[in-house]
Amino acid sequence: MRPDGKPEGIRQSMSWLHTWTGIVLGWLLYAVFFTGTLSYFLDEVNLWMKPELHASVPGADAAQTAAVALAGMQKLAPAANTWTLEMPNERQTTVSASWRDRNAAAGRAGTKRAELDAATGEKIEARETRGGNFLYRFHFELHAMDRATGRWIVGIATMFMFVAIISGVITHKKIFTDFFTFRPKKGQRSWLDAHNATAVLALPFHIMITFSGLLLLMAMLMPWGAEIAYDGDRQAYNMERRGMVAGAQQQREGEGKEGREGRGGRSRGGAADAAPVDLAAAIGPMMAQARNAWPEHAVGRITVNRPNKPGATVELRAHGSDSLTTRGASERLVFDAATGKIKERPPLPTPSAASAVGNVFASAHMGRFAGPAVRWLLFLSGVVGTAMVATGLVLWVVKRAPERRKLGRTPFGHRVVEVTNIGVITGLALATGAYFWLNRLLPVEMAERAAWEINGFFLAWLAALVHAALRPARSAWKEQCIAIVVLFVLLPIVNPVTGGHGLFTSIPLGQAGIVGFDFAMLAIAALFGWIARHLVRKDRPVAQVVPAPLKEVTP
Amino acid sequence: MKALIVLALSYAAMAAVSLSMARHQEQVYGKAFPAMALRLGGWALLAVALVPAIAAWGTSVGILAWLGFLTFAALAIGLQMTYAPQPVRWTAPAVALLGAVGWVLA
Repeated sequence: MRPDGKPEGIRQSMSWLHTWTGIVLGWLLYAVFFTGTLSYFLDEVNLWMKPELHASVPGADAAQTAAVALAGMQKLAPAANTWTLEMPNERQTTVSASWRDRNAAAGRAGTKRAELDAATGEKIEARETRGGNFLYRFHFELHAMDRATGRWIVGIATMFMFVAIISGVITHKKIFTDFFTFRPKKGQRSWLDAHNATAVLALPFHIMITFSGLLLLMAMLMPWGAEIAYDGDRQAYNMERRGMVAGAQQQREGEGKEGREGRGGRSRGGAADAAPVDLAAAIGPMMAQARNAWPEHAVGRITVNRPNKPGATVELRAHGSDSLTTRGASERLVFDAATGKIKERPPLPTPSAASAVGNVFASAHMGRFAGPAVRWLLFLSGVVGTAMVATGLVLWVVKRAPERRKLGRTPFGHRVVEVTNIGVITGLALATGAYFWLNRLLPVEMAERAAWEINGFFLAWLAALVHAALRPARSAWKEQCIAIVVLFVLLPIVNPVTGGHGLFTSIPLGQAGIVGFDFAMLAIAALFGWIARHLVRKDRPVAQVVPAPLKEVTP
Repeated sequence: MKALIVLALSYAAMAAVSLSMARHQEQVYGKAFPAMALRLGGWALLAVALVPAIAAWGTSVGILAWLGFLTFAALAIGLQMTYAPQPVRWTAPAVALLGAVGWVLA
């Protein structure tokens, strides 16, 4: 690769590989990291973007909340075959209810959903929005293309990320002696230090997140092994992977529903005309038993099978689990609704060694298990990862500044990279801010409302890119940073003005999810404000030719 | 609380590891000296920090959390060595002590 034809060492060739895989897929990876990092707070974003749900404040007594919710379901869907209630927790203010009617279509289509006020059990009508799910989906399947294509693109970028990690480690000569070193105010040196520090210090996170990302996309990227081994029977493959035997699932479900009905009918004889169980009254003692069974965990989900019919059962599931190997499986208790006695205590599944390892990576990637401390750790690690990609992208431009100066002009390719850097790094943050604003500004009754929030996101992103192309690089960086600060710092004010619970309400009520979102927005504003301050300060003395702003993007 | 204990122990451990390196010794003490004990002690303390992490979160989550805290402890030391290296003389032992006391009390 050397123009002078001299032989090249492993470091140079790895450096070349690192630079070019980095710049070619860096923008995409930045977007994946940025939206993926926000997805650690998926529930919080969803909650914030539906301010109607803020008014629901669960009482201290979970059994009371459960009783109220079941009474609400009795009014909402008395004839349903199953009710599923997700109980409020530190990330959710309402009871999320779903139910299936007797002749409902299979799968998701047949499931109806509603959010219930945790204090009254009344149904809450929330605005139409994709909420955080848009950002979450975007981070692994992009948008406006079919799912498979998006996942392929992100999967390929993830593989290149892996290449970039390995080639980066080989390229970095003083990986151990530079471990704690950051030299500020030294232009390119500082950028390289910041890039190295964010990459090396968070290396375990980067490897985990990239590798597990690949594993999660594996079935899409490399389906052939499984196709051949299972003769194209994807369902059988998935069943076995999850530690189930094909066919056993249906059988078990059959027992659970028809079988139970049959048995109940026989043993009870004429009990079919007995008055249906008042579940709202019966749930209290069941909740107490669950609390005794798992003192560490709250009840996360209540499933009622065959409510208002003979042989009804109530299943309580613990909120959260202690292990990554089971991928979110948690303890369950099944009660006979009529007697309130424990009927079954299904054991936790024991996954095979291979799927246990897979589950550890998948759970770690998604943070599904995580309490607040570990969730914030993952989020902050995501911020470090985002900063690593961003510093790498900026470094590409900074490194080529001497070449520009020598030429006395900016080569077109350099300018393209520079503009795209701005349009992606600050532009994506601007677009996200616009998305949150539109969530509150678009009229609630608007047609295609959710789609227009997303259109607004992409229009804002495009506008940022155009702005970056029209302005000198330094001004573009500065102006976009300031715009981000304005957008994000005002969000905690926009929130109460447009119907949500502002900090003065949410803090006294202990609504951690809403408080967390508002503080995260202020933190983003502070981060970009700090960068903007650097840019403004540096502009005051003689204007520099070198576009070396944004010195420490490290958090 | 458990998070703070793991973070405190990791911070002290990273301080010891950094102070076993000549560059940072010069920043803090003005001269370099051989410090194999500091290096080994730092690594040992890092391993020790894994114990409260696993006790608090279980094996799988515990290891993940531990790696996360190591990262942020190292970042903190990196920033400290950049902007205020001298105080590490007393912040590291003080934080180690706080972590140990917290662990005993918890």
